[in-house]
Amino acid sequence: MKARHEARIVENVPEGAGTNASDGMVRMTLHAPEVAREARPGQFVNLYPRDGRLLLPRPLGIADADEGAGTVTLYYVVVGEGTRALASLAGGDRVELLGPNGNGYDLAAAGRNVLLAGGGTGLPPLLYAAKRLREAGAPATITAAAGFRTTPLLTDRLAQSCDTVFTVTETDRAASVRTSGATSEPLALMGNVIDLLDAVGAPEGVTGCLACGPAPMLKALAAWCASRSIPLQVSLEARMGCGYGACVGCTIDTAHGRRKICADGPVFGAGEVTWA
Amino acid sequence: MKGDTGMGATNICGVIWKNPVTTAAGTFSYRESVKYYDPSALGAITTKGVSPTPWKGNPLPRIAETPAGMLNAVGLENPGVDDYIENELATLKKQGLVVVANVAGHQVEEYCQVAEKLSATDVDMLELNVSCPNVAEGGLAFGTDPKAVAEVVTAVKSRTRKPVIVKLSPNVADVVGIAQAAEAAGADALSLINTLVGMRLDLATGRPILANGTGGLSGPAVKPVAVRMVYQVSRAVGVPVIGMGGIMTGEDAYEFLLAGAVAVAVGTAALLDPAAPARIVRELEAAVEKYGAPRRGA
Repeated sequence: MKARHEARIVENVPEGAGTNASDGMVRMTLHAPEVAREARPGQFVNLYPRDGRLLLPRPLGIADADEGAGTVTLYYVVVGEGTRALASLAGGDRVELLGPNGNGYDLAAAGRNVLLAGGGTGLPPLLYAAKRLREAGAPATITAAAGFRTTPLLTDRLAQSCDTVFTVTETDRAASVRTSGATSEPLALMGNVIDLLDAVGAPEGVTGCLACGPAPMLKALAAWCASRSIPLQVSLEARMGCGYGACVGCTIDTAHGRRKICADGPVFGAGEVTWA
Repeated sequence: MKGDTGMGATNICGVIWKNPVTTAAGTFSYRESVKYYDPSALGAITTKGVSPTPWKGNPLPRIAETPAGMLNAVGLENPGVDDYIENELATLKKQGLVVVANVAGHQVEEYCQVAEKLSATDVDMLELNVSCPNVAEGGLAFGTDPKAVAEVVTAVKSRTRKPVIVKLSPNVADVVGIAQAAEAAGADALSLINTLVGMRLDLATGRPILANGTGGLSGPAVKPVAVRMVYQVSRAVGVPVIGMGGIMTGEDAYEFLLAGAVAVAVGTAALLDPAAPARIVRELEAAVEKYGAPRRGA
């Protein structure tokens, strides 16, 4: 049976140049062979801070899983007490986890010409989706559109599995670029993911879109994809209680009735979500 | 026997639990929890509050973390009693489990409608959640007024022959008075405590974190309050008392038995570790071995 269990931290280090764990993004790699074996893109794990005051899990999207090495990689930004407690852990320490949780993306349904759309800290699940799409049998065309408020994060990692990555921020025109392999060219854009997609257009022949990001972005993206008949799968986020489907803390309305984001999702077809 | 705490089976109002551990309402999912433990390890499964019609519950966010606890304002989202009977109850009874159905309502008649429908099923016991807002009294919880508690219990008892447990609210000045009112009205057993009303504010916006404003506090932070109330109530009534509130370990459960409970419920612990109820059965067995059969203190 599945169980909450301890995993050894392989590394827990700041991600990106010039950042540190107290204000940036942290990359945590765990030795968790069972999770690594089962993990599908779009699924998440519950991490439990080692602190008697903080009991609730921190649900973190799986950014990579290496079955051979038995490792799982997660990214998080230090935003409060819980993530601060997680950031204080070091390689060799142990952390309790539960997972993989949730349903994950249906990669087959997305087809072989896929648009990935990520906003801010919503990028990690897309890294893993891109890797798996690339590994799958038939050749894939993968285009990513990534939007950030100020600082692009993880776009270099995304570029490793994508044909093209478009990056935009809401504050710095110079940060917007189109990256293909080793070449980068400026886009001279400023705005969010939708502004970016409006500017560069839908990839020719796109078969599906996988997205993860803040709710307003996903709602706008749902309209953008619907008007272009692009099937869209969105990974939703909510403040969760248990993170495995018992507490009913994170339900949403869908075309099929009430659904739990943590257990029935976090991935839903954009068309089935009743957007608030 | 699996799930035997070494104290033998527990008879609660004529229903045999093979050990004195159940789930607290709203913390067990018949679809999800069973992926983590075999529910037959427990004495009974207490299911999430069910109302006559589907309830949508409160807007999100519904959960906020607090020191050694959590606030929830789910608002008793549930698919309604008909769906409950057809799906959840049928699934659990097919596995031969003892099932306690937690019953919610906004009016006396709503509790009665649910109780009546459940009476026609093989559910084992009913647990009335009297912490719901009473629409007829401007939203004040039934459980804060001895007369309102008595009214609900009397009405429900007249419509069902299933044993009725009344789950008491701790948000009262005199929990013993409420307990005695419930007993006098015909409650077959009492369970306590429900969550304590609390609030957290977002430091940046100054507004409550929960969309509902307030929420119910649970977890180890409330355990001393729960132990105190179980201690007081069990000494003041003749009916069995089921204790709950922040039980995280078998020793916590044992403390409730010492306080006077005949059985315990595990709630928040199961949200943090899905297999906690089954673990606590094993740990309680060890505690009984270590400290002896729980004896109610002076």
